[in-house]
Amino acid sequence: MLTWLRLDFRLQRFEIVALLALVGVLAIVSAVSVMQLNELQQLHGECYVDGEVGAECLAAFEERALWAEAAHWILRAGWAMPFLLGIVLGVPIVAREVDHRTGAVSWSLARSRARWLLGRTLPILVVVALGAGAVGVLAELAASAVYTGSGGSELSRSWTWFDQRGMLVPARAAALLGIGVLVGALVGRTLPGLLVAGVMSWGIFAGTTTAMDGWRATDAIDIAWDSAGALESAYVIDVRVRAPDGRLLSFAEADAEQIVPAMFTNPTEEGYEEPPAGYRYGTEVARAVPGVEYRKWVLRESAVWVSMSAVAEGLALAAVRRRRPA
Amino acid sequence: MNGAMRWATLSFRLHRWEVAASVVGVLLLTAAMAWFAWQLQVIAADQLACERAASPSGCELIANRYLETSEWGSRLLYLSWGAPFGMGLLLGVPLVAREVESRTSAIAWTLSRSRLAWLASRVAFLGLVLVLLLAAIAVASEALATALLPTLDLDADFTWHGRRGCLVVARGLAALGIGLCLGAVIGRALPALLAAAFASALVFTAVSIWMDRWNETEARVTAFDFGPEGSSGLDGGLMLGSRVELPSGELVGWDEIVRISDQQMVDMDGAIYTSFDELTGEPDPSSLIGWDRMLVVPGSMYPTIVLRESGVVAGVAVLFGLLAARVVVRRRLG
Repeated sequence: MLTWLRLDFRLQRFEIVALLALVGVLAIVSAVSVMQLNELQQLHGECYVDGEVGAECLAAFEERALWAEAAHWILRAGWAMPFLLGIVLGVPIVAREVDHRTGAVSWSLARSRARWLLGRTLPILVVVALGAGAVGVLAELAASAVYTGSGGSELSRSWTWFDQRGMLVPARAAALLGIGVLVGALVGRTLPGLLVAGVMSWGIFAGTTTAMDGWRATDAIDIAWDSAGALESAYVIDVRVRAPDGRLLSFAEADAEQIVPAMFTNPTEEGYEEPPAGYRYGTEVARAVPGVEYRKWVLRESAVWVSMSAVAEGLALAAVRRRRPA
Repeated sequence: MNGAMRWATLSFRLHRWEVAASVVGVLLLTAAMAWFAWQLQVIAADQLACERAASPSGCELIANRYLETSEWGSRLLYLSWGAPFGMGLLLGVPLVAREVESRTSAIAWTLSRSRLAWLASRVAFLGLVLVLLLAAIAVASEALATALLPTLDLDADFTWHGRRGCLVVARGLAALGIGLCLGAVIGRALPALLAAAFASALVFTAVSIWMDRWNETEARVTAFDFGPEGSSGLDGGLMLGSRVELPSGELVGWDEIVRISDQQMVDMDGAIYTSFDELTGEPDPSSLIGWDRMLVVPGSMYPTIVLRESGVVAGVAVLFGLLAARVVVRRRLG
């Protein structure tokens, strides 16, 4: 394993070093921003004295906004890094050998092409999983610092930024690595392979996300828009209007029936206002997956991505086996 | 004629994947832009007809369709911003790097009259392809921008600056130069692509900061004008930042003002005070320290600024091209 790891590193040292350096930079930015956000969060609590906010606090709020922006960049990286790690490290594994016409030698020297591919891919998979895993953890920490500072309670039961943090990041990276290896094996040239893998991953990502949305919808429940707190951590799929007779209508249908959605529909509630002439009030209802289901669905989606990685690797193996030694 | 054909065919064969991908990408993008521009014109005409017919319910639907279409159309302009960087690097990086990587450079350079002649003939083909493709994007994005903002004179307006017009082409050439140079230095396509992407980000950020400093010499000091319709007072101009105009007429940055006093109050006219009545909230006139102002390059300067920036960016392209030539000439064979 160590020999394979050393060989892989030598063959792809520039890409591995560059991408791990990027992860290192993200780690530094994340650590500093989380520290600053936590420190400023403490000050935030001390700022409001008798409802007044001092000048020092205003400066602290501005500083907090800057660090929160830095934390958001870590979250964006949590979304983008799987693509970068998976494709940049995955495509050249086979494509470079074919491109340089060294495939014939490598495959002849190995006991079998399957062993060769496994030996080349596994160490890279470890690097990708570690790199993306680190980004997932960093994004989780950054999200937690921003979320609690914004009044959120527990991020492990919330869908907020769910696809940019935690376990999903390495799972996606593993799938994209598999796709990268497969495309590299099929195209057999590095740069064109990168282009094709980029387009293909985008399509697969969009398709999987849509399919997951559909699957998640089976767990969705109706949550009234004014149930403060419940929607904050939920994954909202659709918003509709509940008519006074209980039917769920789209906004256009509600408008056609002269029903307007409102927060306060009961005249005894504070903030209630009479509806426009000829109109009745309805309530806005969100079809959403509650925050308590978050962990279960992240596990499921991660399993889908990891399975996809295995399938792509299997297809890559078939492509390598059938390739003529160039 | 035969020589030119041979040159074009050979150059295309060497880079067919990259050229084909760029052509397909540009065709799709320009077709989408043309379609959205046409759709916007059709919907605008429908909207006009609808308003004349005075049928408010139908008009609302058309207005929504217009909004949705223009939202998608303006998203396409992001692609016209990114295309020059992507295409420039994609075409520039492998030009020398692939020859070195696949150890064919020795043959190619030995067969040519000189390495410079070899490099010039390769760069000329890819440069020509890049200019033609980016020119198509520049024209299509200009047409789309006009369809999106039909009431504005976009020849005198900085809206979507850098996403339309000749700057798109100039940026592509600069990215080609950077890719070419790093490809020649590193001699491996994929590492060079990563390094060139990083270098491009640095170079273009530096150029942007430097251009802002240069453009400040053309900027006018303008009051913030939040009119009843939310006008920002920019009037098609390019905002370069905010400054505080002191009563002496001197312009200083906000950091200077924060040093004078940790408390500022800005009224509707942009006057800045350091103290105010705590009961009424009214500012103390004696504490006036200056006025909040913005630095704006007028919209009428748009063609000049675009030409200037295009010139600077083209200069970057030439500089990196020359560096690449030097590297190629000095590189060891093999």
